Amino acid sequence: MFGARMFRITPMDRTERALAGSAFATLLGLTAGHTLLETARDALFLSRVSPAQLPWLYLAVAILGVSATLLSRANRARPRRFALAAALGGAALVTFAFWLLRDRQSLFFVYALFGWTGLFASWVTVQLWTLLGHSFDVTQAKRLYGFVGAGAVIGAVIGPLGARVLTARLATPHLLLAAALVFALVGLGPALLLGSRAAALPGARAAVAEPATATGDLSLVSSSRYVRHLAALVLLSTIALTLVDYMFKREVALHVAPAQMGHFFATFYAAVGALALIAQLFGVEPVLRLFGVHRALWVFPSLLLFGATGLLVAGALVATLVLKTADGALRHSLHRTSLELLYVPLPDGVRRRAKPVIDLLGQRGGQAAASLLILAVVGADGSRGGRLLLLLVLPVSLVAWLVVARGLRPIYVELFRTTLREGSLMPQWGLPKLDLDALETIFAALNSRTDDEVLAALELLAAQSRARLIPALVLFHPSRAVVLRALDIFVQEGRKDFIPIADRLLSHQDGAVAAAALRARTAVAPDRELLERSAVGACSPLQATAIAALVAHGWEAKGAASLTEFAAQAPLEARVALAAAITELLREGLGNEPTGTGERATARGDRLAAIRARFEGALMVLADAPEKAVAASAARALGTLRSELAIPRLIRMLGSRSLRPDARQALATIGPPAFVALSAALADHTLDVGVRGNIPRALVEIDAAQASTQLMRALLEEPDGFLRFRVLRALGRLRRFDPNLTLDSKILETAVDRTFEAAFSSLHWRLEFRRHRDEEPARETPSHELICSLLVDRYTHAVERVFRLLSLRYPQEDFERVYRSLRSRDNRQRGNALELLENLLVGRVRDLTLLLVAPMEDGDRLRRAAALVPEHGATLTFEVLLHQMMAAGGSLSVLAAYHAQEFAVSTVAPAPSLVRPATPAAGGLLDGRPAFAG
Amino acid sequence: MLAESAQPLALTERLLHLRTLPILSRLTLAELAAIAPYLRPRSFAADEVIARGDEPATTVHLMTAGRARMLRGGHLFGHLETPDAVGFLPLMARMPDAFEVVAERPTRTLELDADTLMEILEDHFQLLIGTLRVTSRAVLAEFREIPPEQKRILFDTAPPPAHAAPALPPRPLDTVERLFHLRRMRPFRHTSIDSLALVARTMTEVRFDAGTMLWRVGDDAKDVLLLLSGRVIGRSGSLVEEFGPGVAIGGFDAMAGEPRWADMQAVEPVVALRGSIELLLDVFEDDHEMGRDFLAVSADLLVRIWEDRARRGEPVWPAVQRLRALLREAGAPRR
Repeated sequence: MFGARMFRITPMDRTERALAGSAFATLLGLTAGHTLLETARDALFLSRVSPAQLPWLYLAVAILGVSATLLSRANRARPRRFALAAALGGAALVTFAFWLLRDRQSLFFVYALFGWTGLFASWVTVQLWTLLGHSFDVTQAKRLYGFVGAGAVIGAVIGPLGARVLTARLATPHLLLAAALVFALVGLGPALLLGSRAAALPGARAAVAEPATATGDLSLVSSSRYVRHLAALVLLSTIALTLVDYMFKREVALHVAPAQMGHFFATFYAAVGALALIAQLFGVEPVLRLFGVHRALWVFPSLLLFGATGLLVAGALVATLVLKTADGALRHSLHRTSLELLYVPLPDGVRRRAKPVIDLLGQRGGQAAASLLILAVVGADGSRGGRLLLLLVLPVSLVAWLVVARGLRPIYVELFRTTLREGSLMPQWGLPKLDLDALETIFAALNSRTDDEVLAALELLAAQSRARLIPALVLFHPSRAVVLRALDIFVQEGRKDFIPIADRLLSHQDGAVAAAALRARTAVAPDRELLERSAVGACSPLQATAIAALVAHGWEAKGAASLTEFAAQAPLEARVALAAAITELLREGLGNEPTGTGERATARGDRLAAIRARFEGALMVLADAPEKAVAASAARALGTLRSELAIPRLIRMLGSRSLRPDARQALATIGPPAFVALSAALADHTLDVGVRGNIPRALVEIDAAQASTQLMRALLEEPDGFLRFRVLRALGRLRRFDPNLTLDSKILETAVDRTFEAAFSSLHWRLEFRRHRDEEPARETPSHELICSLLVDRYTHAVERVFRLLSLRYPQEDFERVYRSLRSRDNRQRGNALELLENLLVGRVRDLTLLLVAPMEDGDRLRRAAALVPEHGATLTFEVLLHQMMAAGGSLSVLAAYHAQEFAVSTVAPAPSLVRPATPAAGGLLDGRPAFAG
Repeated sequence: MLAESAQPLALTERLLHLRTLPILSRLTLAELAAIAPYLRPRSFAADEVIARGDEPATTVHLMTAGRARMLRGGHLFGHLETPDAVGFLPLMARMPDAFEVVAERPTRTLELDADTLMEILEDHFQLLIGTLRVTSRAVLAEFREIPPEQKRILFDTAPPPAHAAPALPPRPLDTVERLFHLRRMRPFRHTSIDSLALVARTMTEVRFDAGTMLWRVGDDAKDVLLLLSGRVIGRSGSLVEEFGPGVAIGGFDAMAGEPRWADMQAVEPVVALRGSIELLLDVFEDDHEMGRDFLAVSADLLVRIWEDRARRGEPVWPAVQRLRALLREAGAPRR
């Protein structure tokens, strides 16, 4: 019944339902059978043996557990299809054998039963949860483990109730037969189904069994900080819970008659089971949702600590009953679910290897440590009593448990960060350091028949400051690209040994090669005579280069006039060469010269003015050339000249894709005057959007600090959504260049707030729009489809913008990677991203961000959003809905107005109170609380 | 993988190889160095399957040595060798089942995950544009060779019957009406309306009288014309074909950056929307998904053309060779 309820309230797809349903039924049967077995065990043991023997039994179970774990090592690569069913079948047979031997009164029988009960449960349970951990990602696990875990708590109610009924009519040992029957039924039914369904999952085929060794697995624990913490958590919780168990049983043995023990345990376990069920149904999911996995880990030990210290005054019996009740209510619900969730972010291979080791070290080690503690504190005969334990050892172990649980959080979050980084590009990878082998490889590549490989070798050598090793003979290479690149590198390196070969290249049949050779050799060793010789003749690239060089050096009588004339009349190839030559000459003449101060600056300014006078006119002509290559070169050169006259031209060039990079670079070189002009252009709403949209990035490249102020203002004030997006992207670039740049957090938070508003209003409108369509099918016109698509787009864009804004607000976290992971095809990657988000953000920003991206039905998403922002839950009339969309601005306004006309809806807005403003009033979304947890 | 690939020699070799790959040739060395550690070296014996033909491509194999044959539906489509990339076209075309590629002799590749490749395309817009230009060129080359009747089936360029043509209002179209028309085009069927609205706003409505020459062979191709009404005749050599409302003409040559390949003349009064390819590319820069959609349509069209060739008993390998040549040409350094 409860399972059915959970089934309904937990959203699941078909595959999830099949798997989780089988797991639920398996866990239910397993726990019911096990509680039958436990009831029989506790009653039989305590009626025949002194509770002082319990520590020894705990110790024995721990040792047996270690042996069993080591024996089962070979079977843990990936849970096999029938392994769980076979384990339950085996358990049924062994339990049946105990029932057959029930009349033996020997102590060995009681001890063996005790050992078997302790061993079997953890053995089968580990198999079950490992199988589930393999089958679900972290998001699925958080959603479904509550439901699956409910099987255990329902079993923990049904089992003791069954035991209570049976012990009222039959002797306690018959509980063993009942347990065996339950195990057999579960093994043949749901466990078999679960194994088959898990094996049929898409990822199952890819699972590969890693060879494992005991030392290898132990080293996994020692090498992984997370696994180490997890093992410590299990160890400390097991110590504390074993102490509680011992104290409870000791008090029961002292206060309950042996004949009544079966009935007492059955009744007590049934009551505790009922509490556990309530906790599972109403506590686990809200606790996990409200506190997150890591904080949920604090709840159980905190309650136990409170019980252990607060109830001391009430006496040992009451205290232990309360503690055991808390244990029974929360161990298999909240504690188990939280612990299992901690395993999910581990990679499959690591989890498969780590879980048995943690079980070995944590559970068995914890049992052994607790046994030794009990023996040390109360004595081998139990004479010193349990109060001492309660006073001294239990609180200490609980505090230690809390400390470890607290310390787990940063490691847990880091694990998700690491997982998201895997498989993503890491921009910090650098070029390889060149050792002898690498150099040999590169030199072999210089002789390659593939031009690209030769170029790659040249670039690698240049990038690693080994350009001096490039042989000058490479200039005889048949590829134009190789020769041009080599010349470029030689000039940058300041080499002169290539000049004889460059001079030979002046007669090269490829004009571009000849011009480049002249450019390069002039850059390192200008030769007037050579230039004058080359300047004579047809309008060739070589002549263009020579004239530019002559003018640059003041060796041309006609000076600037000859250049301008040439620029206006020369054929394309020559103009390209002219632009390239001027750029190169300016780069050599001015580009690398330090600005300096005082006289030096004045001298440089004079020189710049003189050069500008020579070249500016020609460059202006070239910048207007229809050929992109010419105009782009001219733009670069005008930048180098710091030509303020060229600024309007350069701003116009931002509208052209092919000229944009050069124009941007030129504006950046010109500096402050360009910044002022660009700022004015950004504010000019009459300017072409193609130009305006490229201004934010251009501003960033001129002056990052000033640009940030300007762009942050535009982020809130710019009415055009497209421009705001460009502003956001430009700010992102700014942040990447300088992660320490201070950006106004209030503005960013307001922008996040508005983006949430845009996202949820888009969702709200879409659902309302569809509702109206369902009510009146005639409303489904072509514009209806466009509006729906647009609202989906607006939502998607808003999500992207939220993450861009979060990246700006919290530069220490990689929200871009989180966003990418959320869009991954890999469920596990998406789940990890969600879990990381949940841990990185806090408060309302966390809730709203998770609502934006968590997998759920749109209706459910909107309902939850309405709980945080009530206006998103409102039912809107068709007219109000259209008016709200018309007020939203951009394409939506246009489409909504069109749709309104289709249905003769008045385009005059209704009463203002009915229409939500398109942009909410600026205000703190975060209510003064920090949005960030770490 | 990372530790192994961080060896200087391994990284150097990979960088040298990556540099020769047309699809990555626009990246700087530092950018290639960021990719190099994510490549997994793979070896295949002769006759071993490199890529299966019955499932979508999830990785790309950059061939570093050896030779392989590419098959589709039992037809031999061509041979691949270094620096070809196995799985690239199916991935771009979002094909539900990729080409089958089998090693003909011992073959070595560097394997790259599809997700990583997509991340690279997203980070380096110029690669997306470069790939789009190359596929457009390849489609355009096929366009010149396919018989008109076959083209109508493949390219969906058949003029609609007169009654199916949407009625145009006697005034210029508003943005929403332009959106309706754009939305009917295959590359824009799933695209963001916001981005499409941006495209629609930048388009110009143009009207031509019957007999007007829209463009001639060899003219610069910068625009695409979306025909809203009227018919147009294209002539290239002996090839003559007719286009009608709902068809976009001149898009592939403009996207490919090539001159007009045919004379285009209005045979009836024509109303059309003219859009600049450069502005469209600008929109792609903000909406990568739209660019990917566009690329997927071109790549898928190319694959369908090849399949059609195979069905008609024509050899496909010259077309595959052409694509390889175009890719290499596009990858050639521009300096």
